[in-house]
Amino acid sequence: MNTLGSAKASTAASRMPYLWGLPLLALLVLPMTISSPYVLHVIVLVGYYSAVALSLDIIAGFLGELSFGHAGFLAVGAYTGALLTLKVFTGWWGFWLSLPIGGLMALVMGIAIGIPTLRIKGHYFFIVTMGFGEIVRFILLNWISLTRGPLGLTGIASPQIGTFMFRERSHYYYLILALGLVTLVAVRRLRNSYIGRAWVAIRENDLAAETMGVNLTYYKVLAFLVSAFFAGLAGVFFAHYLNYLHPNNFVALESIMILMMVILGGQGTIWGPIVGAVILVGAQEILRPVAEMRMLFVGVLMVVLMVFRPNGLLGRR
Amino acid sequence: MLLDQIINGLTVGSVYTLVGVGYTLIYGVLGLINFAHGAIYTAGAYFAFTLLATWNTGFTLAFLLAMVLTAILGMVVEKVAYYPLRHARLDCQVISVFGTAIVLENVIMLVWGSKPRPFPADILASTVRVGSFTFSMIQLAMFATALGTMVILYLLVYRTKVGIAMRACSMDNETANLMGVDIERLRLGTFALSAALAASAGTLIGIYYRMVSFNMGLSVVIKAFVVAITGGIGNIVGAFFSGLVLGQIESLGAAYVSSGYRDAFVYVVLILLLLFKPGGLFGKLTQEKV
Repeated sequence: MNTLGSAKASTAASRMPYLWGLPLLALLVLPMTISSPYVLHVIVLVGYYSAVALSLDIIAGFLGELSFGHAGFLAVGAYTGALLTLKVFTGWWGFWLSLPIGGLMALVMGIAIGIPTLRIKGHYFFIVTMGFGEIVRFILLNWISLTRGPLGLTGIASPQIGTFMFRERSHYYYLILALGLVTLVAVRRLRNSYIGRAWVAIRENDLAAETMGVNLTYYKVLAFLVSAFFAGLAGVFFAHYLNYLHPNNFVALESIMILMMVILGGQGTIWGPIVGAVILVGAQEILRPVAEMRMLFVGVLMVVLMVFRPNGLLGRR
Repeated sequence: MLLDQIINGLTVGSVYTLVGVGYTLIYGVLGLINFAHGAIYTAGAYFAFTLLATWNTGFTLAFLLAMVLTAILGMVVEKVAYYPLRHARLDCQVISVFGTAIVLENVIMLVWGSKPRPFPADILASTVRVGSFTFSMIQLAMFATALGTMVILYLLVYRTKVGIAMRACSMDNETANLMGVDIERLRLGTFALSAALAASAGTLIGIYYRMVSFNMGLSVVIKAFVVAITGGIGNIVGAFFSGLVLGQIESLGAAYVSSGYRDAFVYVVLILLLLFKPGGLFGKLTQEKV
């Protein structure tokens, strides 16, 4: 792994803190320089997928197991958040309350998936995680009294602070920027902590890690729980950004695309998932005029990348 | 009512068997979980559709030609997408396989369009009466194909030299190679065979439901995986029976529990199975493959 690289980067940053300030400033003024709502929408999507891909990187990168069911966590967060603001918390503070609760619901599901998949690896792990993701979707489709099934949830309120409404795309931009930065900082800190090292140790050799005193059950479930929590937060954001939810927002292909972002950028790196999200979301928007060819391009990209750059663009493993 | 459901389950289960056996062969010989199997199955169904609807070839010819064409497609896929990655890490292989599945599915969509296409209605539509039960010819054809395929495959794998080579490869690729097995030819052959089986399944299910669509493969590929796991990887007889059992679970579950969850039953079965009997119902646990 690129422990060396990140150590170098972090010392450079601590010596020159303005290195972080400049890009942050650029991110803060970015929406003011863009007048097209469409471009801003794409940027918000990039932010959303960056946060989601970062959260998946905890399982796929640190723990080293490819999860094909990440859309399930998003779905749980999104539906929890949307249903809470639709039916329970109707005040302006509704969104801010349902945001953590959505994350916590996804976290509970993360534990529920983490425990049975502890002993499962490789091929079986892919299929079981995909199965969990799809089961969530089937429940959302069929529990009509709660989720309205295939009709979808409509009229999900936009977030508010007091009387200030999040109406413009740029408002959502700052919201997802904040959420993305929180995720980024959390993932970074976790990675450089004892917990992150334990995860990487498990990835490299679980038997050796256990011999050195790493509690496999604890750290694996912890990875699922953290990953699911941040995905759930992003899911709540997604619901309130679109104001509309449908179970088909969370099909298996969505999970695969998120995983693809992580692998494209480089598993186990911090910036990799973000780079992957930029490239994949960007590519899909650029290819919109040839809509039928979009997925074809993604498929070819997946094969070519695995043949020529199996560790991702930023990966050094 | 119950009997109808059981017959439905047998019919659909036969198709799962055909797909699952092809899957288990690839997994056994290549150690590769072939998510593109569903797309290959779809391609087979579309080949048969074109032959039947456009070229009017009649059932038998269309069935056999579709198998041949799909076998060729299978070999191309192996050469282009899987062969270069044969020594790569597991996750790289899986991503490449997924990419292949997406590419195939989208090529099918570009060639034949994204709307479902109806099969000509009169193929094997006549019915047969046995005692008080009525079967349609297509139901009989599906069950007979599955049974026949299983017998032929069993003989191939356990009674011929090729079969010995296949079983040797599934145990240890390197050693089999040292013993004079041409691995690359065997891989290609296995791919062709499993693609042909998938094509036969796709054709039959297309005629049974009177329809083909470009995305019919995904749910089938998951079921094929479950069949392969429950049967015990590489176990042909096991795959046959677990395919039929899966068909029953789905058919009875859809009829008596909830039809909305039809495709979810298979995941529930899989998760329970992996938790309590990871070696499959009919197989031994092969730890080193896991």
